[in-house]
Amino acid sequence: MSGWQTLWTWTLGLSVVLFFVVEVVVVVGGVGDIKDMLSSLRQHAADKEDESKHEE
Amino acid sequence: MNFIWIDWVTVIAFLVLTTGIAMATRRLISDYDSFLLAGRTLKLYLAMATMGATELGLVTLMYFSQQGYSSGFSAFSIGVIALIGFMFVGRTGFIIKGLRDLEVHTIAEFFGLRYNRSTQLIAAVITFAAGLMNMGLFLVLGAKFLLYMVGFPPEMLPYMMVGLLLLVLAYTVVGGMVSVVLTDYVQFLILFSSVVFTTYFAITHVGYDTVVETVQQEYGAGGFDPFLSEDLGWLFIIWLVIGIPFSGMWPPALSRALSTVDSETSKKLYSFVGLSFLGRALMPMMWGICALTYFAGDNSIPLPLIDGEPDTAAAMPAYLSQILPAGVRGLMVAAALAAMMSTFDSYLLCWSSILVNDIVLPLRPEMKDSEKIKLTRIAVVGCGIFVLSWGYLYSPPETFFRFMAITGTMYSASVLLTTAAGLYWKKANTVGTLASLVVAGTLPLTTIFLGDSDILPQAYRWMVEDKVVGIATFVSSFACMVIGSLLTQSSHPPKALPTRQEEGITI
Repeated sequence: MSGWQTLWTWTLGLSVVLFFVVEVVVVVGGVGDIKDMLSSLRQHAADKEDESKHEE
Repeated sequence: MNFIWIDWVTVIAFLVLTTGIAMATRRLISDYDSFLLAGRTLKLYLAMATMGATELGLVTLMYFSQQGYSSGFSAFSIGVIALIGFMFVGRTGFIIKGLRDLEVHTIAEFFGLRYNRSTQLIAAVITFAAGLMNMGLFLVLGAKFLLYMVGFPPEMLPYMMVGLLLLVLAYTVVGGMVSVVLTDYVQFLILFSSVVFTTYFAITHVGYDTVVETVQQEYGAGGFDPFLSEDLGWLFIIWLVIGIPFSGMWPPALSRALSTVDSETSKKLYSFVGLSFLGRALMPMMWGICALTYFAGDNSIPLPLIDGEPDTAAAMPAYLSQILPAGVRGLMVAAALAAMMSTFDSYLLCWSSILVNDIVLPLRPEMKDSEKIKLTRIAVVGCGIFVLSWGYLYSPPETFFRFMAITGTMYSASVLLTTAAGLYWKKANTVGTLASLVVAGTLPLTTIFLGDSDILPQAYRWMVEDKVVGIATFVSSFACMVIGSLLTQSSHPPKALPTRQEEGITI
C-alpha cells in the first residue's frame, strides 16, 4: 500500500469510530434535553395563556 | 421490486412515528420564537442530534457517494477539510459566538443591526436565492435513491418527488422547529446506525482489497492523491481550504447555533458534532467507491443510465439494493427517508424564515406573531413547490457535490465573509459590504448557468469552471470589502453594533 492508501484506510477507520461515539453520546444525553425542552415550552405556553386571560 | 414485507413494515412504522410526533407537538407552539427557534431552549445533546440529522441528508449521502464514485479515495480529502473546519469554528467560536450573543433570529438580521435595512435586504435575497438553488436538487436526488432502492420503475420518479414533498410539508407546516427538533432526534438515531451498518455491508460484499485495486485501475495515482486527481486537483483543494473558516454555517446549521441556550453551547456543538462530519463524508463516499468496484468487476450487471450515459448518482442506490439483506434494506430506506425529511424540513423552515424575517418583516414591522407564523407556513409551501420545479428543470454540469459547493460559495463568500468583517473589523462599512455582497452573490451564477452551455468558446471555458470561479469569488469579495470600506470611511462612517456589556462584544 502507498502512503496515501494507508492514510485513507486509517482515516476511514477513525471516521467510523468517531461517528459511532458521537451517536451513542448524543442519543443517551438527548433524552434529558428533550424532557427539559418540553417542560420549558409547556411552561412558556401556559404563561402565554395566562397573559392573554389577564388582557381579556 | 426489491422490497419484501419486512422492509415495508419498517418504513411504515417510521413514518407513523415521525408524523405522530409532529402532530403531538402542535399545542406547544405559543408564539413565533417557539415556532421558529423552539423557544431557544435547545441544550447541547439535542442541538447535536438536530444538527447531525439536518446536516446528514439523503442528498448528502447521494452527492458524497457520487463524488466517491467519480474521484475514488481522493474524495476523502473533502471530509478531512470539513473536519478541520468544524474544529476551527468550535474552538474559536468564529462568527457563531458573535451572532448568538446578539440573539439574532437569522444571519441577515445581523446586517440590519450592523449596516442598514437595504444591506439586510440584499443579504437576505442572496441567502435565499443561494439556499433555494442549493436545495433545488434535494427532491430529485432523494426520489432517485428511493426509486432504485425499492425497485420502482423510472417513470415513477415525478410521482415520488411529489409524494416526498407532501410528506415533508405536512409536518413542517404543522409543528415548526419543535417537531423538527423532536423528529430529528428519532431520525438521528435511525440514520447514524444505518450509515454504520450499510458501510459494513458495502465493504464486505466486494472486499476492501478489491476496492483498492479497482480504484488503482480506474483512476491510477489520482484515485488516492487528491492533488493528482483529474476530477479534483490543486485548485479544488485550495477552494475548499479558503472556505474552512465558514464551515457548517449554512443557515439551517447556523439556526441550530442560534437556537442553543448560550454561545458556549454553540461552540461545543460545533466542536463535538464536527467529529461526526468526517464519517458523514467518508462513509457514503466509500459506498460510491464500492459501487464503482461492483459495476466495474461484473460487466453482466448494468450501471443505470441517464440519457444514454452512466448515471453515477444512481450507482450507489443500485448497488445497495442488490447487496443489502431484507430488513436492512427497509431500515436503510427508513433511514434515507429520515435523512431526507430532517434536512428538507429544516431547510424549508430556514429559507421561509429568512423570507419572512428579513424581507417581509422590515417592510411590515407591525405584524403579529400569529400572522408571522401563517406567512412562514405559506412560504414553506411556496419553497417546496419551487424545489419541485427546479428539480425537473435543472441538471448540474459537474457532480452534485460540485454544484452544492458553488452555491455554498455564493453564500459563504458574500454573506459570511461580510458578517465576519462586520463582527471583527471596525472599519467595515455599508459600501464595502454592498460591493462584496453583489460581486460574490453574482459571480458563481456564471458557473451555474454557463458551465454546461455552448455560449463560451472552448478556449474560454476554464473561466466558468467551478474551482476557478470559486476561488475568484472569495478573492474578489474580500478585495471589494477592504477597498470599498477604506475608500469611503469619511462619506460612510462605519456603524457600531449594539454592545452587550456582559458578553464583551465591542465593534
